[in-house]
Amino acid sequence: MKRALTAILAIGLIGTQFYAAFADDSRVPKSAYAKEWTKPKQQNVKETIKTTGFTAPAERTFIYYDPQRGAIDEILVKKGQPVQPGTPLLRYRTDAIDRELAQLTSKQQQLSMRLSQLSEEIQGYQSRVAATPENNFEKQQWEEKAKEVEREKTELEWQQQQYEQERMELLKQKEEQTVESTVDGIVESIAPNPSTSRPLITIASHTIVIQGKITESLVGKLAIDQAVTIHLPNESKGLGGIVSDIGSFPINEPSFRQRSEYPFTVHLVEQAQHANKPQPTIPFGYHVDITIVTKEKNGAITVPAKAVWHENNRAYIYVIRNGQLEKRRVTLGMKQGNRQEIEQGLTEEEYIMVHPSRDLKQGMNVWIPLEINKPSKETIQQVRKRDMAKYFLEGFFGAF
Amino acid sequence: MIYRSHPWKELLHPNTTFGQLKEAERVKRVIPILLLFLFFSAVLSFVRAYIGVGTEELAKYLPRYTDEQRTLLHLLFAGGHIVGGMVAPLLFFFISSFAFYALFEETNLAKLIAVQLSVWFIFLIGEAVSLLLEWAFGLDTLVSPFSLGVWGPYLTDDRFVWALLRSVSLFSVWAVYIQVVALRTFTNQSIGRIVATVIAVDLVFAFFAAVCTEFPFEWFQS
Repeated sequence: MKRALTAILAIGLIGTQFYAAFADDSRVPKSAYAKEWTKPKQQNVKETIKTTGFTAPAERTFIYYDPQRGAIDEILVKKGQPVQPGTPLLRYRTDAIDRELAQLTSKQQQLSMRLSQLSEEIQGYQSRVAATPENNFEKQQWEEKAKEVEREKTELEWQQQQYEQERMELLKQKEEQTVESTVDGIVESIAPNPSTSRPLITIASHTIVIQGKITESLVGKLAIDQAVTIHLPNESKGLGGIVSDIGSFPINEPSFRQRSEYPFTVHLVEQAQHANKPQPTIPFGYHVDITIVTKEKNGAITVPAKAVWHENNRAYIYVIRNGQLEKRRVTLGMKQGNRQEIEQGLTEEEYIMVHPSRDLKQGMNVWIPLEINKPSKETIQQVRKRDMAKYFLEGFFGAF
Repeated sequence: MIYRSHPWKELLHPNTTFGQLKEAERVKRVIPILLLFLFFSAVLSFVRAYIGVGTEELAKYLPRYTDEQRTLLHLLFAGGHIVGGMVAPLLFFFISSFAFYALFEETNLAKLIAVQLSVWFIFLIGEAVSLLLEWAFGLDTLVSPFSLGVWGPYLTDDRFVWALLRSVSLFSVWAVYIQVVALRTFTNQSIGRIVATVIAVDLVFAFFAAVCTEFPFEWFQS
């Protein structure tokens, strides 16, 4: 009975003492283990948005069917074929021109034969004039004949020139029935049926751009000329670019059910700078990862993101100050990977706890776990003997 | 008759074992157990230093030292803690044994030392429990809920008072009980005198321990 009473008393007393030690409003001091602590770093930070996109030609040139030129005789290129300025693309039919040319050629041949005859006649009359004595009636007659034939020849020669001009004109018309490329690029598509409403041949430029999409919540952060990094799948090296266009209208018809996505275009900077150098072959429509730098700051104070403690929509950092914890409210800036920028409330020289928790409280003492490393001779020489004695004795007397 | 020291048995059955100890002509196994306890004390002290208990002073001057310098000072702290962890119980062990030997003429020093081994064992258990609370909850060494030290922060900000209150604990009461039972078995003195003597000796040592714990390290500051 006496033992039971003693046991109950002891348990009750210890229970009360535990309450005194661990109650929420307990005044019993507790210490925090600084399992990991660090100093803020000064570094350049970037705020980025990640999204996806695909490669597309920077420009497209459309060749339309012209019914005034007649029917198409032949398409002279194939889909995917590289073209340059002057490369024949298609030819319209030239039957009428060819017929005219044939008639003209026939006329020119007849005219040439007649001209040859006239030349011989003139020669004959001139021989006779030469053989006939002076003051002879026949001589005068032959001379007049020769002059008459020469006049006829001159007229025919003039006509021959007219025919030649006509022929040249027809040849030019025939040549114009072949449509040539005016740009450098690749034949992207060829319409199967000629129509005036849609392009017959589409030529895509060799230079590519990136077409991306971004949700409505982030589109406001985009701006023209922002730096962009393009990552191709399975390639570590990224391509640089800039935002060159932001769409004002969403990609799909807006609806109440889903958030809108907006298109934007990225112009590849390296491609523009090295336009004359061979570029990595990236097919059109190839999907890529896009990282857009929306903000950038040099020399920002950053801490590990996990060191920030959030409470009631406010951010805090536990600073180790004079061996105690100081729960300090801070203003957050940009976040880059696992680093968080602290805009206000922290300096580079302070030490902070890396793993804050609910148990940490303002004013707690900080305990530092031991790291077992063999100190170098230089370190031993650097530390004052007085400090060494102090910490040895502190450990010694702390054991009592 | 030879008595083999067995602290655990002495704690569970003090009347029987100390009766046997009184009748014994020789006491054996004292030194091996003393060395074993010394080893355990050193291990407990090392673990405390390793997890960083009591390194507030080191944390106070984080910016002053490089990582290597801090590690060196922490190692020295751990070394001091291990030495202190062995010296403190040894002092208590021998000083209290000699004190009882001097105050109670009919006692035998070897038998008193055997009794003090079981007291040391109690303090080892107390240290282990205290270490658990420190490790799990970061509780200050002086304010274990097993001692009156827990009321210190409610009464005063003076850590010396906390250190004095700490000396009154479940384990110290247990130790006093064991010492009283042993001295009652060994001597014909009245229970009142025995209890008063034991408490007085323990209080002196508690005061000494409190003074040491709250050693004024500010003297070392530059």
